[in-house]
Amino acid sequence: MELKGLIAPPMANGDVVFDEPWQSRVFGMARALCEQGMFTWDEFREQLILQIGSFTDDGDYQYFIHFFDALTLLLEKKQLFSKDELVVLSEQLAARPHGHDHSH
Amino acid sequence: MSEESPQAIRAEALESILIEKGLLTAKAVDDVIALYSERVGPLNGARLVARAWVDPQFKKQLLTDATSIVESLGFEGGQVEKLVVVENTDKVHNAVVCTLCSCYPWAVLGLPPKWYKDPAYRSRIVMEPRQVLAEMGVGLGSNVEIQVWDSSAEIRYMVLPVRPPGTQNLNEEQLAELVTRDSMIGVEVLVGVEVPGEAS
Amino acid sequence: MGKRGEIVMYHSGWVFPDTNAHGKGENPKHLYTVRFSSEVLWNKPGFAVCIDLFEPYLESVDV
Repeated sequence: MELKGLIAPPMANGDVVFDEPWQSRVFGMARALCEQGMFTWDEFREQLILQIGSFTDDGDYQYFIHFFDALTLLLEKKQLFSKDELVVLSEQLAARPHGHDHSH
Repeated sequence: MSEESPQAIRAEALESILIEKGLLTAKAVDDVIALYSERVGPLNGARLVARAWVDPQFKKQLLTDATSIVESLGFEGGQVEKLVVVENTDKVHNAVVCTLCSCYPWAVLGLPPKWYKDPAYRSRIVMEPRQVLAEMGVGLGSNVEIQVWDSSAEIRYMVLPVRPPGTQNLNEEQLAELVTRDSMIGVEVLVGVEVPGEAS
Repeated sequence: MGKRGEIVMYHSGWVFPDTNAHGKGENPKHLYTVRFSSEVLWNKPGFAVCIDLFEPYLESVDV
């Protein structure tokens, strides 16, 4: 998969480690979009390098947040998607009643 | 951490948008995840199952107090508040659902499949489980009672599947390789090994 | 009008979401797994649904 060195994801025993389910979804989206020819994996890598490279504060490094940002920026560059749509839908989803979605 | 963290919501929103635009299907994402990580989480559950198949004492403990077993093994990658393991037999088939959201035992089963969150699965499995299971490839005789466990509060359920026929000669490690995630949710019945005795 | 089920497991006390979600405290309640037969729930044979229910959701019945 060639995300090595600076841009390597958290790994254990050769497998990518996801701390939370959304991380796996985002990872899956990037690979699937690439497989469907929406962008090349090299393009994505470059975006990810930019994203992680611009990160200066070493206090709260979260790989998959950079990964997510790199993916959305690349999709915007390719004019496949706009961040406004994401903001609107995220607000709608956040407003869902979730009395049951307890915090664990 | 909650599934409903802002970042989780943003990821969910992104996926919905991309699917709506026809750039992506949920299945394509599922397939990638399966390829990269499916064996990681379920392997913990599979190890418990395989050990229970070969060690009656362990099985007894697993069926009465799975939580302390999981704690003692120190599985990482997700909380199990309280884990209950339910045993499939010739007479009873268990399946797990969370009708309200998507409670799921991460620590032993890894990532939940996308359909687990699907409202259709969640509502139909408690109303017509025999049909739903048949659609998923599990044909059960009318003499087999189905028990559906709704993971609706703090308890997480996992199914101990029936040991497939023809596996007498396999050791614990080989058995663990046969155990799939879906069999531990109760939506798959493990099939026997084709050539028993040939395994080294 | 409720449905009659059978308590098959007892899980000691757990944080009660009905109060905790409204900022009224953890207020732990006894949690049970209750088994309802499909006859009782849907008037259909052949299966059962086991649901985790906190004590305040339950009413005792004469057996």
